Amino acid sequence: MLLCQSSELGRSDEFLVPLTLVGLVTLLVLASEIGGVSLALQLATGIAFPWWAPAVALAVWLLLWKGTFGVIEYGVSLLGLVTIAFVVAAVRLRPEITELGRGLLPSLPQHEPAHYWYIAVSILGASITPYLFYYFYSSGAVEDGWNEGHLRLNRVVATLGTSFGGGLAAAVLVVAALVLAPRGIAIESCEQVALILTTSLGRAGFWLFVASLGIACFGAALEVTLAVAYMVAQGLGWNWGENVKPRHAARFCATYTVVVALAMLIVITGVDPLKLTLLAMALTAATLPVAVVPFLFLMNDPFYVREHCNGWIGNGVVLAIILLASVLAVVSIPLEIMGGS
Amino acid sequence: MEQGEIHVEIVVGRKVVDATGRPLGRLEEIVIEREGDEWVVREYLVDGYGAGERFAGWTIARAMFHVLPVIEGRRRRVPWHLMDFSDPEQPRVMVPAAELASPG
Amino acid sequence: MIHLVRDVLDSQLLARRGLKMGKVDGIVLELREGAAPRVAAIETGLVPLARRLGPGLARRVERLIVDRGLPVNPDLRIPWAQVRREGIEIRVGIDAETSPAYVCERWLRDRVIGRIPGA
Repeated sequence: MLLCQSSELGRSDEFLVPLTLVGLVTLLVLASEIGGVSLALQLATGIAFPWWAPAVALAVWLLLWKGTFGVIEYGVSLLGLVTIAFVVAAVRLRPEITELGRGLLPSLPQHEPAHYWYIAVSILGASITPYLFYYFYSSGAVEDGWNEGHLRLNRVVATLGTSFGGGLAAAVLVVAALVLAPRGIAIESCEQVALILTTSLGRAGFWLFVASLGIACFGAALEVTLAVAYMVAQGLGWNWGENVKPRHAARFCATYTVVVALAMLIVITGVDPLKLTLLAMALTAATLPVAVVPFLFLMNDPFYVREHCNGWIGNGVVLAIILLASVLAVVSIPLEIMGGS
Repeated sequence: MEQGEIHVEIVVGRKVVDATGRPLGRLEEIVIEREGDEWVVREYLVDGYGAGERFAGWTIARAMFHVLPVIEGRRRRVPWHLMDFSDPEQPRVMVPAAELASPG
Repeated sequence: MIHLVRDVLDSQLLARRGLKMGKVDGIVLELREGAAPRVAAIETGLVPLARRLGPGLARRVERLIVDRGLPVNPDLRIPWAQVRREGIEIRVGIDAETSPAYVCERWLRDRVIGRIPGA
């Protein structure tokens, strides 16, 4: 995808701009994921999260070094099913159907509008994640040997997967609203979040939360690291591949090694992973135009995708979302920073 | 750069003027064809961007202009023998614009 | 007919055995008296890439690589006669392993990556 993109842009030097920008933002995202795993370990053991960062980074690196694309993709996905605990908890809390319906309707914030829009932008950035579909899954298609015949299956999987993920995210919101709001609790730290499953699932709820946080962030860390390595290697024309032995793709492996090390250093500084996550996702939303517009060109160029070009609805929806996300991000990030968060 | 050679990656995107010094657009593409054992230049494609010219230094901007119907892109085909690369930073067409084939 | 910018420039370079050896960073046209310019060679390396940002930068990059003996490919010229288009990629009939384009890859493999267990 990246080699197409740089050909499409026509000049490698201009391609270096989105490469650098998206690379830097993705590094922050990786740091927030490693921070998330470290936080889960802090909740489980009581040892502060910066101390866990080197071990987590080493685990991520080891799995990339020894694992294959299939192990990373399927293994982590299967383990990630532990997050269904949120759906179970949501059901057990018996939410009012009418309240659920009302929650589906968009509404304007009652207070702290800057913070509200900042979180909205972060959610947008986390949902669209260009580095994943762009680099990870398009490279994965090559690693797994997909072809045009897989297109329909891919559409089904993408639709089901996104719906499943969206449903899980909604379950988290429902549980948080039903457990925290009546008690007047405003989340400021991860320790508080860890308690939201205990109301409906007891002591097991705490460990399920820890497992969910740790596994989800670990999986994301693997994918994001690979995404950066794919991006750099493909953009510069190097040998690459998770299914290739490291000695046959030395620059690719060196890239993900350096990236994991840098992200680990960010976490070691002790920056709050929660705040880092919100910022990284908001920056992802802000840089969406840079990441996604060239992708749109590819999706409309019959030279590359032949008869599978985007329709005007697809183009319109994507353009509208990325414009909305980037405008909101550009406005809300400075407001959030000035607000002292 | 050795004498008698030009680098495609440097000349592409440069502003092109005609024999009278009037701006024609930017060099977008070089079309080559086989001639015996060699591949030689057949023509150069120069695109004019009108009001969008100030942004046309960026390839991504030129790509957007081609996709969006906002700016009228006028493509001129310049046969190889009419392009002068004495100054690679400013390629020059050796005839006035009016003598080139109509844009299309 | 080939469009040099669309079909060749910045395309992935494949060497023998399908090894990826960089991108087409530059294309050299030979100007001739009374005859159409001829496609002479393609280039890959840091210097042609830097040249796009400015000739001064290209010279500084080349001097840095040569003077410091850095394990990086400054500029590899491949004659056009050895170039074939394969879909959206460009295949050249050279062995990547022994070519200057693989200097960095070989250095990393021999000095760093290859020394880690499991490589």
